Amino acid sequence: MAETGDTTVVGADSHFKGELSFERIAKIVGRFDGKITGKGELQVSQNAKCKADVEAAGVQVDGLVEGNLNAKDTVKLNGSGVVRGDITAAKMVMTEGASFHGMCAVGPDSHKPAAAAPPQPSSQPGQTGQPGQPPKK
Amino acid sequence: MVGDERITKLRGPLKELRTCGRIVVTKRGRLIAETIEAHDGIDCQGIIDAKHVLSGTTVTLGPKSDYHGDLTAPGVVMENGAKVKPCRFAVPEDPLDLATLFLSSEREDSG
Repeated sequence: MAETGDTTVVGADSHFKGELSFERIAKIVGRFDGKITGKGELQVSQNAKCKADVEAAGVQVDGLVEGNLNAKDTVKLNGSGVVRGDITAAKMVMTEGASFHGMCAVGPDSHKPAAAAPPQPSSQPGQTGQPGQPPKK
Repeated sequence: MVGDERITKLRGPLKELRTCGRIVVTKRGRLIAETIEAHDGIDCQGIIDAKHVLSGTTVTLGPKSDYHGDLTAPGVVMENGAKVKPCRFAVPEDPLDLATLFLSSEREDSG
């Protein structure tokens, strides 16, 4: 695995198995099996094969990804990109020619966990228990 | 319903909409149906809410579109800003299944 400036690269002739976490930009050019977590953008190059569940701010796919993609910001699925897995992202751009088999959820609320149940009105004496209404005097 | 002409407004629920042409849902348009089938593609700039959507050519989801429905299409163009409620996408690498065709013709040649 090489580091060029701010970019972590899994090279074309390498096969990485395991867990990768990164801060800024990670680029898969060769093969990767495992799990990827990062705060920045993951780039999967055209001939790359990535069998991994990915969690990152952004993901750009030009190669093959087998696994679930979870992006806080944008997933870009370019013309040569293939995704077999579920995509959850705040924004998504998909180009003609891209292939995608899986569940898709895109929108500002989609990457958030399921909303917690609303707080129950307190059952203190003097309150009616009607949510959103002031207690009767 | 089989759509062969421009429908500007139709009230009430729609079970299925099938056309050999193209379906265009404009910015303020809304299409709600159980099954949508368009053999010349779908252009969605508004709202589509369906159970199953089948398109013969590319489906376009515009920047203001709001989409829901299990989608089968040979290609999808999704622009930045499009919203998709959780649903299944099947966008094949090889929509005409040429790989299978090639393999079967090879087998015939060798056999």
